[in-house]
Amino acid sequence: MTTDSSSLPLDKSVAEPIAPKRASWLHNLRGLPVVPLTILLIVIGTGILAPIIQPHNPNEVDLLASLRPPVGFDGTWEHPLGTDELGRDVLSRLMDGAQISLLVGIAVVLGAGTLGATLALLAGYFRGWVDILISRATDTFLAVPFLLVAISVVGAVGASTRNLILVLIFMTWAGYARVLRSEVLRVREADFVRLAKVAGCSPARIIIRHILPNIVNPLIVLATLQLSAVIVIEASLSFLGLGVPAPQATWGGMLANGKAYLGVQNSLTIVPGIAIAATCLSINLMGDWLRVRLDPRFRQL
Amino acid sequence: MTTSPASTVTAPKAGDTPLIELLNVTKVYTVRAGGFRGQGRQLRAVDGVSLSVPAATTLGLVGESGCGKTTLSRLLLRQEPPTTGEVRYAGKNVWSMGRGGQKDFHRQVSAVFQDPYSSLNPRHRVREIVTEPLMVNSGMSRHDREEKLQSLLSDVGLPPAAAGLYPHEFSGGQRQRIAIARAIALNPGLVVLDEPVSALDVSIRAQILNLLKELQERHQIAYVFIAHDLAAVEHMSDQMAVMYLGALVEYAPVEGLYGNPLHPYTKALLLASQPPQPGKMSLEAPLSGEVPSPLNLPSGCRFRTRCPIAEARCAELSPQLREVRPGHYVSCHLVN
Amino acid sequence: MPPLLEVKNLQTHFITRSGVARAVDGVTFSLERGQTLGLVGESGSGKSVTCSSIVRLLPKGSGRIVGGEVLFEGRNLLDISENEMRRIRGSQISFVTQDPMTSLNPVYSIGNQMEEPLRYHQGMRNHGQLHAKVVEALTQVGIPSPERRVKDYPHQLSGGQRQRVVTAMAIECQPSLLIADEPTTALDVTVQIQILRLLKDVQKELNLGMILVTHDLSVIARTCDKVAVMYAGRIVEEGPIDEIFARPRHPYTRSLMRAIPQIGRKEDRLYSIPGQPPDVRRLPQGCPFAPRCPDVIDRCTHEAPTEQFFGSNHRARCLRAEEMGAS
Repeated sequence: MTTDSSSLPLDKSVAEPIAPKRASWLHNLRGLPVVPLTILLIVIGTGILAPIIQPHNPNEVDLLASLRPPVGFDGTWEHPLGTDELGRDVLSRLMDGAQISLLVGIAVVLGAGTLGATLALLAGYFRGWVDILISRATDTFLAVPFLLVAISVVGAVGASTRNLILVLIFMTWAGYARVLRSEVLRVREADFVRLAKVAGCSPARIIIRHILPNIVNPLIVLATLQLSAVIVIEASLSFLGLGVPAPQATWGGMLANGKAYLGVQNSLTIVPGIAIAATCLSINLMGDWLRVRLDPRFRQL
Repeated sequence: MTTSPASTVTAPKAGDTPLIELLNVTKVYTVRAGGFRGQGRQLRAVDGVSLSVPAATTLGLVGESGCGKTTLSRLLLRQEPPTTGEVRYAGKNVWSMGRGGQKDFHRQVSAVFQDPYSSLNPRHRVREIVTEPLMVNSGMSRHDREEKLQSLLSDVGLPPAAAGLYPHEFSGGQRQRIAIARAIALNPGLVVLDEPVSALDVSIRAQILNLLKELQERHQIAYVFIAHDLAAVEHMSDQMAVMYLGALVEYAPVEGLYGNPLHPYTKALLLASQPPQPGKMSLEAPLSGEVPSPLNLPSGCRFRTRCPIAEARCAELSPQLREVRPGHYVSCHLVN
Repeated sequence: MPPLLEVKNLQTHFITRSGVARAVDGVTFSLERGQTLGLVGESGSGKSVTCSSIVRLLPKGSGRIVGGEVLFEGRNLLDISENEMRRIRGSQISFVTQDPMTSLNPVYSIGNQMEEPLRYHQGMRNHGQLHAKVVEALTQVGIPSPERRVKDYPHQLSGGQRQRVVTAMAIECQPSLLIADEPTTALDVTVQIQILRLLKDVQKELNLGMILVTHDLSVIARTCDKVAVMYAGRIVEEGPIDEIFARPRHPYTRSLMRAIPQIGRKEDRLYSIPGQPPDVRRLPQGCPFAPRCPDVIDRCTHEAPTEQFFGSNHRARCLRAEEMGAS
């Protein structure tokens, strides 16, 4: 019945009215992870400003200058991160690719997350035939061999950035729906949901105001994990020629491309590899911070 | 309030016009045995219960696990329709009301549940928790809502600053005060109290019970007080109903029931809830065994498997609830 | 011969983000074989943490025993290695917890789970022997047709029967100390007494020392020889059960007894203790009960009360304990 220690009463805070909150909006940024944020800002900044600040045209071929090493590994400042097998400047391609990779990643996560969460909320709240329909669709999508469908769809409609995004949304929403549905089932059994019904709240209000805020935690965790996964999937699709069409640079494409020169010019895989890893890590750390900030139980600490 | 139309069922009545009534209500659930060859089995969670609660009075409801208390509270709150029988509020069947009637029902009936942790949305501030019923059911302006919020908080003994805080910043007893503030926000006629103090510390329970009584007197609220603590029920209630496996076994005014309990089950419950007195309390259990599964009701009287005075006829004939003294109903063959 | 269990000035702290919680702050008591000690208090009073500290089962990381001694048959349990401790837990000291549903593993049969401690602590391997021992233990706790029950899974049993199985598991290795943490709270009232009876019966049979943690004074009155009342991490009053019920010396004990509604005591308003249970991270100066105490005097708010003894075995931690007994 009564559990020790799980929740120590904080009656002090009530007995003595606490200092007014929201002293400034900066207050909300406490504990912000600075390094990951900086990395993300650099990636986004260079992505947006790429056409202005990149030292070379990312698609300019110069076969005489192919496979140059980066600065510090016998390279020159002419090409700070070296060149690829066609003599294209790696730094410029990296900046160019940031734009595409982030665009694809964020668009896919937003699209699939919204779709998956909406379906999970409907299935979990209404149960019955709505649930059966959505759950079976989810199962089907989780069972379909991903690459096969991607190849046939892109083969049919043609490779382009937009098609890549749509295919990826199409293929990843089911993961959100499956995980979030079980969360919804858990939250809808809470007494506050029953009390909301007693108070006469509409289903829409219950879903949006009561259930959704309580499944945000797993949603953010899933989304940040997915964002990293999407950037990598984009790489494998680009590798198969189904991603963003060449010669447009993408991080995944660069990684795939560099594979052929492992042992010859390792920087061709290492440089985009570091970019992908650093970005994914930063996104995960930012997600963690956001999750904690959005939870009132942690907010006042 | 309109008078309830004459009904064929003899619903026990006390006092004035009942605010809420159950007329011979039965709720049957079909339980799948599991697997695909699911011939469902019938679970009679509530079986032929008739009750009525006059305005501004308290009906206490006691019983052990599986007695149908939870189902009954769902029926009273119009969260589930009865399989047969009628639930009436102010004389009207709550399942044949129009949209307006439903809205009115939500304004008139609210609830407080056992678990003060699960009852409050952890993502909402107290302000939103308490005023949500106002927001959904009344056209009150933001300013009026804020004013009402402050008066509600002071009603339940919380400081004005509580409005801006989240539930996790309060102890169990204070959370239950928040839940109560929300429940009385729309000046309801009836509040269903489902074990409102059993999750709280012993030193806090009396505070909350006193608060509930005070609010009842001030706002003329009727309560259905569901609990397993017989002493608390005695303190709070005017009428009292004892349930066993989905059916009423005894139903009487509180003084009659505690002063002269008639059903052997009621007697056993009272024996089990003596006040603490070292040396004077026996460790002889007043009843042997446990409540049988509601999926497998005993034949005849459902209490006979544990009854200390059961006879042969108890296995054959199911006893009916009958009035043995004015207002005192009991369902047992052996009571005269 | 030393007592079965002697706890001396036990201190357990929890390190939280908002400060150090002195969950157990100088708890001292002793227990003989065959004796039952009731530990009462509200949530956060430290009664459960005291029990976890005795067997060193605190949540990893935040909880730490920072001082005191736990002498079990004369040996300090805080000094021995984790391996030795593991051999004592479940054999010489065993437990019955509140929720029989979570103390039994739903995926193993009753028989299977009950054989586990016998295998681990007694090195029993023979199948026939194990089976016989399990059936014997189940018979002892009054499970009907134990031969068939061993194949059942926890969900097939009723709440009371599950608690009987948990009790059987607790006693099959012949312990000398049994810690029961709210053993009846999750059960129906009529079943509660059955389980209390069972605990008393096995206690007598095995001559066990028993610590019974509860918030329910009627459980204490039914089963205990002596009682310790905890508040804010300390024992505020301890003594033989008749003494405590007849002449409570600490205002908290007195309030607690008055605040329970009792059948037949018609009163318009229940006596209630004001305020909320204290936050052990921010205890006030002086007596921690002072802010809620009906008998508070000026001294209480700045002077921490020490223990006062009344007779050989009744003690209370209150500045006014002397006068309290008189009234």
